[in-house]
Amino acid sequence: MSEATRDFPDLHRRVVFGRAGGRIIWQPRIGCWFEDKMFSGQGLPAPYTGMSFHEVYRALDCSARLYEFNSCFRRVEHPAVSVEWRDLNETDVEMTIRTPVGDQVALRRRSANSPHAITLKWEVETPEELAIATWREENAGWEWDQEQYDAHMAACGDLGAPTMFMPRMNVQSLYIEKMGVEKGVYAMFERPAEIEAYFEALEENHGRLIDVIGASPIDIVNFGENIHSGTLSPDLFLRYHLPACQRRCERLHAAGKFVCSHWDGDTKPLLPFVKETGLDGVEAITPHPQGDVTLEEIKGALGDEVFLMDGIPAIHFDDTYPVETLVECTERLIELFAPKLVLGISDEISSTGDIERLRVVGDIVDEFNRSIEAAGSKE
Amino acid sequence: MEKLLKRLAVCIERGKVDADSPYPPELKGEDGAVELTRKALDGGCPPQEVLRGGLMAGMNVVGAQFEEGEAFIPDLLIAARAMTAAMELLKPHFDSGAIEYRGMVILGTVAGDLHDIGKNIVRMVLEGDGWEVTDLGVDVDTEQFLEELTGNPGSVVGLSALLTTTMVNMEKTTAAIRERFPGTRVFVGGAPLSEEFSTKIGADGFFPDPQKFAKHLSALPEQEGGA
Repeated sequence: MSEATRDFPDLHRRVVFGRAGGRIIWQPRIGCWFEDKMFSGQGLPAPYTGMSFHEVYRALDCSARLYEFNSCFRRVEHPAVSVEWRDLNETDVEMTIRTPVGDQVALRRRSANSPHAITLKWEVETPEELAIATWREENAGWEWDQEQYDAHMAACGDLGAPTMFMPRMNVQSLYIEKMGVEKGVYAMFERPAEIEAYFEALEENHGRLIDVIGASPIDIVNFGENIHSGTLSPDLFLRYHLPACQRRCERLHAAGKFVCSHWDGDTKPLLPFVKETGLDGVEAITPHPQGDVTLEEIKGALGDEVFLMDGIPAIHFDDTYPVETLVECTERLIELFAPKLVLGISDEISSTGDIERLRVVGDIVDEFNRSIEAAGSKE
Repeated sequence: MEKLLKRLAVCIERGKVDADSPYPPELKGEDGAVELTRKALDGGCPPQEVLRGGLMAGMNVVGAQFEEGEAFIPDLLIAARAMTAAMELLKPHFDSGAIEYRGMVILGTVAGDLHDIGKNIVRMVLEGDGWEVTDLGVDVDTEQFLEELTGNPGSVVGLSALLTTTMVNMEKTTAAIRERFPGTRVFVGGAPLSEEFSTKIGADGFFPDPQKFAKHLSALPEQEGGA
C-alpha cells in the first residue's frame, strides 16, 4: 500500500474534493460499538482491550470521520441566559434554562439499560416555551475555539480530515432537539406562524455559525440531520427543509467547503430531490435489507454528481449474515459509486457486530485502491 | 346518520379534532371529530356504529394511504389525535359493555431502546380499531412484560425496537414470554427487523406498519386474542 493511501487526512481531502485519482476511502463509524461496550461494562474484546477510541481505529488500520471537531465551534448564549441542572431523584434530572423572557424546563430520566436518557418533558412544549426558544436563537452567536482544534489535531489528526456537523435545520431541530416528533407535528400543523418564526431565527443563528465555519480550517461540513422520510414527509421536506438546505449549501460552497448531510432513516420518497439540495454528499443512506432502498435506487438518485458516504447496512456486520454477503455488498458499492464514495457503515456497526469484519472491507478497499494506483502508474 | 358518520370519517382522516382546531384551514370553524361523535351518539347512533362507521372508517383511509407510501407519520399522527379525542366520548360505552374491546394488546419498546414514535402510532391505530391497549412505554424490561401478562393473561404482545443493538433484548423478552406464558402471541416491529428475524427469535410475526398489524390481529381467531 502506498504512503499516499495511508495518509488518511490527505486521502480523505483528496477523495471528497475529487483529487484522489479515482481512489476511495474506508471510514467505518464504530462509536455505538465502542460506547455500548464501555457502558455495559464488558469492555472491548481482544486485541482491543484497554484501547482508546482512536487507538481502535489505528489497530484496525482505517480512517475515521472526525466529528470530534464539533467542539471547536462554541455556541455563545445571550449573557443573561443560564442553565441549571438538578437531580430530582436517583434517575430524573431537571434542566432549567433561565432567560430574560422566561424559563424553559426539560426533564430527562437516566436508564440502566442505555447510555442515553429518556425525555420525560421536552424543552419546548407550549407556545410560551417556543417563544423563548425563538428568542434564544435570535440572541445566540458562535465562536471558534483554537485550543480545541489543536487538542483534536494532536489526539486524532492522523485518522482523517477535520470534520464537523452543523446543528439541525427547522423541522429536524423541532423533532429531535426541541419538541419530539408528536408535539412537533401538532405544532407545525396548528401554529405555523410561530413555528416559522422559530425556523427563521434558527436559520439566522446558523448563518452566524456558517461565518465562523467559513473562516475556519475545517473543510468538511456535515448537516447532522438524521433524516427519516417517515417523519420528514416529502411535503414537509419540500416546504421547509429543501429551501433551507439549498441556502446553507450555497453559503458553504462559497467558502470552499465540502457539504454533506446525514440521512439515516427511510429515504426512498426523498431521494428524487437529492440533486436539488445542493449537497455534495449524503451520509448513512441505508440500503436493503435494513433500509427501504436498493443500491441501484440510491445510484439512480445520486447519479455521478453526489457522493455516497457509507452504504453498507450495519446488519451485514452481524452474524445474522454470512461474510460473503458483506463482501458482495462492498464490491457492488464500489462498482456503482467509486470514485464518488466515502465507504462506511449505514449507520454504524452495532455492539452486536463483529468488529473483525471491518478488516474484510478494509482489504477490499485496499485492493481497489492498489488497482487504481497500478492503472495510474501504467498511464 | 350515514352522512354524519361520513363527515366524522373525513374529520378523522384530515385530523380535525374539534371546532376550535385551526387545522385543516379549509375546515376552520366547522364541527370536528368531537362534535360529530357527540351528535351521532346524541342522535341515537349505536356506539359500535360510530366507532366502525366514523372513527375506524377515517383511520382506515389514512392507514391505507400509509401502507401505499402516500401518507406519512405526520398524517397518521394528526388523524390519530382526532380519533383519540373522539374516543374519549366512546369510553363510557366501552366501560358499560355497549362496545366490546376486541382484546388486549400489551405494547412496549424493549430494554435499552428509547424510541417511541413507531410504538405510539401502533397504539393509536389499535385503539382506533377497538383494541384495549396497555402501553408500557420505552426501555421496558422483560420483567415488566411478564408482570403485565400475569395481570392480563391471553393478551397479545407487541415488541418494538429501532436499534440493531436492542434486537437482542427482543429475543430475550420473547423467549421469557414463551417460557412463562406459552401460547401468548408475540409480534415485533421496527425498522431493522424482518420476517426472518421474527422467525429466528420465535416471535409470531413482523409487521412493517401499524395497519398491517391491525389487520392481522383482526383476522386472528377470537380465542387467540382476535375478534
